[in-house]
Amino acid sequence: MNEDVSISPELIGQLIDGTIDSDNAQRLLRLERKDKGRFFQYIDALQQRVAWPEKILLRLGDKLYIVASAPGKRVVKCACGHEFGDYRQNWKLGCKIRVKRTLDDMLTVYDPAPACPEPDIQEIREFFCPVCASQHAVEVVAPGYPVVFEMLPDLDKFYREYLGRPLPDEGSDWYQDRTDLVTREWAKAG
Amino acid sequence: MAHAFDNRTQLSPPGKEVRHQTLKQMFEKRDRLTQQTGHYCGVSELTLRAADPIKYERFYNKLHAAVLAARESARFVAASPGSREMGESLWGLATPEGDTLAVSLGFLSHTAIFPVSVRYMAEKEYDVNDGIEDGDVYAVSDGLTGGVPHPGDFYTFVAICYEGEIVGWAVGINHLMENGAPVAGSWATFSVDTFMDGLVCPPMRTGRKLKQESWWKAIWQRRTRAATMNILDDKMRLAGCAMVHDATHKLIKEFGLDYYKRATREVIEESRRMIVDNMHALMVPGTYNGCAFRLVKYKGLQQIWSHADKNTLLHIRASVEPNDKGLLVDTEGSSRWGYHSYNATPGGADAALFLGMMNSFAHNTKVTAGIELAVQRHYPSGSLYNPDYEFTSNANLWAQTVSLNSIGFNAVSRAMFSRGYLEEAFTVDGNWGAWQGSGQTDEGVSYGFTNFEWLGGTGRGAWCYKDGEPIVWAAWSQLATCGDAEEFESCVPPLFYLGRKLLPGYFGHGKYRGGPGNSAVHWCVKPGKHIAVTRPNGGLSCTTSVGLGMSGAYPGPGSFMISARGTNLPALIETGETPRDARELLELIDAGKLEVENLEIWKTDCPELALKDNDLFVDAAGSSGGWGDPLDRDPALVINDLNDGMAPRYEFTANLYGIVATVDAADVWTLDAGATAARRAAMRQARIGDSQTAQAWWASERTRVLARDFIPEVREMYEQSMSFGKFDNEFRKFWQVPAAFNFPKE
Amino acid sequence: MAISPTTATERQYILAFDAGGTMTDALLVKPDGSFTVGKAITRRDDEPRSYRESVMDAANNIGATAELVHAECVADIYCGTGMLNTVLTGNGRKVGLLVTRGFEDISVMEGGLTYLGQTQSETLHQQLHRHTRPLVDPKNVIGISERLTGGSYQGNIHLEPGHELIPVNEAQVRAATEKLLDSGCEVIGILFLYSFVDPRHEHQARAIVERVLEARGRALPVVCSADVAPVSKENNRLKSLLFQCFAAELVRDSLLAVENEAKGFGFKGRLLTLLSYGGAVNMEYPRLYETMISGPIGGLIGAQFIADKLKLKNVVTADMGGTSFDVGLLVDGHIGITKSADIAGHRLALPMVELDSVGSGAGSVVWVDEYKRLHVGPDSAGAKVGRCFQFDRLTVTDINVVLGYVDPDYFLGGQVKLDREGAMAMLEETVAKPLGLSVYEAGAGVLDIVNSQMNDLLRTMIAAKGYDTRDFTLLYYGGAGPVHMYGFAEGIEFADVITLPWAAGFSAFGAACAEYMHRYDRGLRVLLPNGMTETEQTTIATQLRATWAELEQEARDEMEKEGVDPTRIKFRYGIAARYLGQLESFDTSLTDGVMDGPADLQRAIDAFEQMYTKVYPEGARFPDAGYSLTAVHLEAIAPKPQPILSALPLARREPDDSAYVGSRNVYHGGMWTPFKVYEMAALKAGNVIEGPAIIRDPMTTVVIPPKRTMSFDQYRILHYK
Repeated sequence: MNEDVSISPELIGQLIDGTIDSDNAQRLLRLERKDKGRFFQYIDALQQRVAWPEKILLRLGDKLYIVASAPGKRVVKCACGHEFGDYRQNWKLGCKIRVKRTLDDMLTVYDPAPACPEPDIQEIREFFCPVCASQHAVEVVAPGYPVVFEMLPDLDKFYREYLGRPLPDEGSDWYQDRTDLVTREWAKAG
Repeated sequence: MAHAFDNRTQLSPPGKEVRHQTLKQMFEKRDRLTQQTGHYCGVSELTLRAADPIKYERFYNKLHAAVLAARESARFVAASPGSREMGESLWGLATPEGDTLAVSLGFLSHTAIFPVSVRYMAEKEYDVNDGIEDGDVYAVSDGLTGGVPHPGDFYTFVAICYEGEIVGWAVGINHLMENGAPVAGSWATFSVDTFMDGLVCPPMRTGRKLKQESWWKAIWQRRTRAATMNILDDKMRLAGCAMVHDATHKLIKEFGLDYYKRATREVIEESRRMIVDNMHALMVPGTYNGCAFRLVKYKGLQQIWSHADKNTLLHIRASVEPNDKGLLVDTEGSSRWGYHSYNATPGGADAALFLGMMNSFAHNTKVTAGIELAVQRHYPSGSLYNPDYEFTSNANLWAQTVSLNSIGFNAVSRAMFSRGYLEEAFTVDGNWGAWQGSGQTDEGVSYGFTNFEWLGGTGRGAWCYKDGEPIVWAAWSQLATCGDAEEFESCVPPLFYLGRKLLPGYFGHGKYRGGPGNSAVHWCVKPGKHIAVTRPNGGLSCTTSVGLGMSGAYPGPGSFMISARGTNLPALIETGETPRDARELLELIDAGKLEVENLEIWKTDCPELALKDNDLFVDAAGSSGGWGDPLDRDPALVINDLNDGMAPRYEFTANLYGIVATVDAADVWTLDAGATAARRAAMRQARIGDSQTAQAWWASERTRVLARDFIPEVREMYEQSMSFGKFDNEFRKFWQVPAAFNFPKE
Repeated sequence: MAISPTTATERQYILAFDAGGTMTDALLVKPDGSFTVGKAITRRDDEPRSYRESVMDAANNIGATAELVHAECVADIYCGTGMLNTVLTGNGRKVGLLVTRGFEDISVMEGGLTYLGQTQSETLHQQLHRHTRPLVDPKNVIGISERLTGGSYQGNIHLEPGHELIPVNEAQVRAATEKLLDSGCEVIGILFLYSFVDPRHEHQARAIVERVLEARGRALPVVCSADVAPVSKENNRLKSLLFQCFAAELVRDSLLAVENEAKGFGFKGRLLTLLSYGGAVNMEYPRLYETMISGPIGGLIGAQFIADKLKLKNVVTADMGGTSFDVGLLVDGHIGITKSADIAGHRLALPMVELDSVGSGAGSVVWVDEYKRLHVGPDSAGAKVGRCFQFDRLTVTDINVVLGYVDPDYFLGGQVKLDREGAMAMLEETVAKPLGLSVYEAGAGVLDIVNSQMNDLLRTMIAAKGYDTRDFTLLYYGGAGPVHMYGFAEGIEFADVITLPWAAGFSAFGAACAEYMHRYDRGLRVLLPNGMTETEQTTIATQLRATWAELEQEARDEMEKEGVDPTRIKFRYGIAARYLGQLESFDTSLTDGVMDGPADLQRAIDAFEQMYTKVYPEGARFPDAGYSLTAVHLEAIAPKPQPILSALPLARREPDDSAYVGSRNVYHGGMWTPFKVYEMAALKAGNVIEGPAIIRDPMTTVVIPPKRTMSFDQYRILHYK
């Protein structure tokens, strides 16, 4: 009877808002098979929580979404409304970046001191929304490391094969990493 | 406990007619059918299950119960706390090809190597040349031929034959406390190749009829420093295998050989399907990328082996891509193997990678080889995970493969977060640490040891809806247990605990913070003739345990240790102010209360540290990462951390979380909500102010890249990773470097 | 007055009580050894009352009065669940804890152990791992600078066990005590490393604490871990200490209240209760937390009694009461005991009867969640039975009433009338409608779930130990056991399936069978390497004898305080031994306590080897490593009268007409079927009842489905076929 399990919107809201109590969380964790309808209930709950109308296609982070901004347009959007552009390009390249390179800088986010990464071996990169300054990502990587494209979803496959609700603007080129288009432009700009 | 053996002579010698398939033929058939049909051994229909599901489940329950019972009984034979109390042991039953049918509790993904070992025996025709008989006992601890993660994990295989035919293997595993390498303990530190890894055994027969042969004891006594402990662990593994062997014979008698053979195939195929189903139900298709780093610091410490006298920055890189067969994990772009102890082999890499995969996709089905069929792996030849040199050392692969597991596991967390199964989504960190060594007392008693405590339990990274918890799990074991000080201390005569506790503030920060790590203080009293400790962690605290924070949080800090040699501890004993953890030790030194002649903070592996009276050895491990933007943290939670000691330094906490609070005489903190809101607004402004646009940052960084303006370790890391096409392409595209650009070998 | 044969003449009664979550059963053993069961609803807030009501009910059955029974009562044993309840509800004493400096977080870390009580698939799904709420506020755990050594596993090397590394810091103990008093702690516990090897630091600290208490004119209990559980592993020892501090003293008070009730009826002895590993003690027993699960052990002791009577080798017990279904094992006549008890998410250093439970009992709440999934338990109506009585939610009993298994007019022999209509309406409303089923289908569905949960537990409990159900006799009891047996025994092959007419009071019956026993464990670190000289061996033998002598004296003193005639005490001896280097010790019982020289030492070692090779293959032996003795234990037994189960003349197969009550329709197997109803009291040894039938009894209902039979043997034990 797991097939038709459905979770109350209240519980889903509590998960999103971080107010769910441990027993209810355990009950959800103990479902032998997950409730199939969760995704669209989740999207509805998220849509109610944002101030803009664009349809949410996928949630990437606490305050980061892929939305259908117009037919044939799927962009990454911040909760504040700022748009980072086509989701096939790593949204981090639309962020403002702050890098912690020195021990002193690192000491502002790691404690006690021996827990700090080693300068020159690693740097701490913080990625902010240029409008609301939300910190959308942190990378602790070697200097010179290409910014990591954390997740490129195959939305068409997801909606058609996993959810059984194909997207209206399906196409053959939606599942592509186009980040290099951005860097190529930048290279031209010199 | 009495045993009946199937004593018929095994396969006839070459030349004569062979009554049964050879192992080699079995493998050929298994691989062909699985390949052709996409179903395990061509089992496209679960006919036995369909015909009589009750019988089928009864069959599996008995088989499973036998393996569970084996551990619950055999582990008490053990000498090492790791095996008995903690998750550091495991028993399993496998098909003739080594495919797992059932496992006990314990560090279960270690079953990944079963088929590697058996395949080697098959290819070398052990069964044809020497014959494999019922109850034969094999020892395995080699990475290349046995797939063993590292020699510290020791395997016992027992052949199960029925009517002269190999029908399965009973296997027992545990992590030894000493395995006889140049550097004492169970993780050969500073080893350069397999010859320095300690007792490394390719699959070899050490006993018959469930009894080890006499010479085998001599090996433990002469080639390891903890003979008694190791012999008892060996007996423990065998005892469990004997129980599984016995139960399997009974089972075959009850159900018949044909039923056994078919049902075991169906069991694996059934779980494979369920796992693929689960992946489809929980994941979002696409590409998930993750990375992590480790630092191998050998420079100046390995001058005898000049080819290893260098530092190496290890790059762990992997992508996860769900597909119709399950999902693919591609490690291309990770560093090349090297003359250090951090190399893995495919078997070892699997053992790590499957931890999160089983946790996520196999908990609601039978735990079998199904996971190996559903998780496709790409370990490029020549890489850290598949060396093209047969003598690499893998003594410390865990220090880096745990982050490979974290990358895979975090991909699942991201997917579940995106699908709305938030209850499952948390930040996975693999920040372990353990220490080891050897010594000799004044009485002339020699001993070797490993202290596993922080391997047994670590903090859990933040969930996407709440803080992580202290010492609540261990990615590599189902049984989070850090054992008891009273037992670990009794294994190491001159060392005594002055503290064993949580380390406040030691976690990754975020909207929700990680669970705090742990710290212990060990005090040397009457060192005897000699005592020295080491600790291999792959320079973990020069990096973070994973490279990417979750949703704007900071990843968990690495584990480190401190040696404080030549102290005035007696003075602190007088005042009752002995240091209880790493933080307190440093504070006592700053306060001038603890005087130390030789203070060393070890962010990388330490060479043997010989200890004298009143020397202190301190470690910190088990921290974990956060989730979300720290400025989004509910100020009330920050105040709680201040009040219950989890945030020991107000300035640090206030600056990081942007809160303002006041403290009263009773040290109780209260939030100034107004000032906090203002401060957070200001900090958001500051973020915009002191950050660059990605384009500006990219331009300046690119200049640095083109100038290869990095320290040699970083340059070499890029040279190695770019020797693999996938990362080379990514790097060139991202930095838009000219075709001629490269990082030359230095 | 003392409990001992000097007063135990044939003219006397034995009383035994099992105060379960729902019912309090009173078992009254008559002077001739026969017995009767009384029942009353358990009142957690007023245990003396449930005691009173159940004992009066029992006395009634034999036309006697509670006064008469008590006046001539030789043993009065009372098993409650107060201790466990205190821990589960968290309503214990406010504890202050002094620990070895550096171990301040021990109550939060609890050694990890976040998977206790989970199945393998749950442990595998690590998101499910979580800590148990600590029984002490972490703010009230204070570190004290002190250290003793514990000795080495490698042998008699380095510093000897108990060597003082750091003296107890008096100033810190004083300051800590002040602080704990200021923060309102009601009891102070002390846990120092290796106190099981040498308790002197803990005792020293206790003395300092007591001086501070005195100075402040306060009287709080101060409890040392070495006195509560003097065994290795600080994490388990801590939990034992916390249980003692948090719950034991409270429960002692409530048990003394029950004792006063008994005294009020004229009882002249001391009330006894059961230890978690068997044996009875009275309320003066210092380590009262060891009575943590006294009820269930009663059932196992009773099973031992029955097994002995029927010459059964292996028995699996199934106890279905109001709140849970508990399964225990009797292998080769021995009660399965585990040395580290896992209770309610805590791991204690307490030998305890091995039990597995599911939270489904007759009083378990039946509900449908928002995912439209049917759940049974863990909430329970307790004494309120269900919607059919005084509870506002649907329970399993409600469904048994609706479907006709339980007679609404004969609950507690008709003392209580049950509201079948109300139960039916609620079943319709809360289960049938949401699930779109007819009310009877829904009811049957619920019973399916309950029965299969219990069925699975029975299978796995036996299979997980590598045993075969066909080698076991299923002994089922508890008020609801006979009602559900047809379901939870379904499809499992047992050697036999039995119960007793007084099934509802079986745990109490077992309690009546218990020995009056104390167990003492004393941790040691004695090493027996090979090639010891005779003199060395003699020294050790002497040391062991001395330790036993101390324990014997301790037993005599404690038991004499409890009113036992010391001259009547018998002792059982044992050691915990292992091969040198091993971590786990194996309990080995010895034939006697003679320990004078090498020969006796050798006998002990031989006994260990025998026990060891019973469990493990030859290849697991390691005599050449030498041996190590890590503990000696002593069981002190005082004589106590026992009930008698006497054989009766066999009547004919067909029951007397007088036993036939009538016929009742029961919704069984998807249809309404007429079941013949018989009166338990009127059925005789030798009778055979053929299903479909129901045997009714004031305390329970035995359901016999179609095509099955229930035959009474010479002891009136019921065999199911």
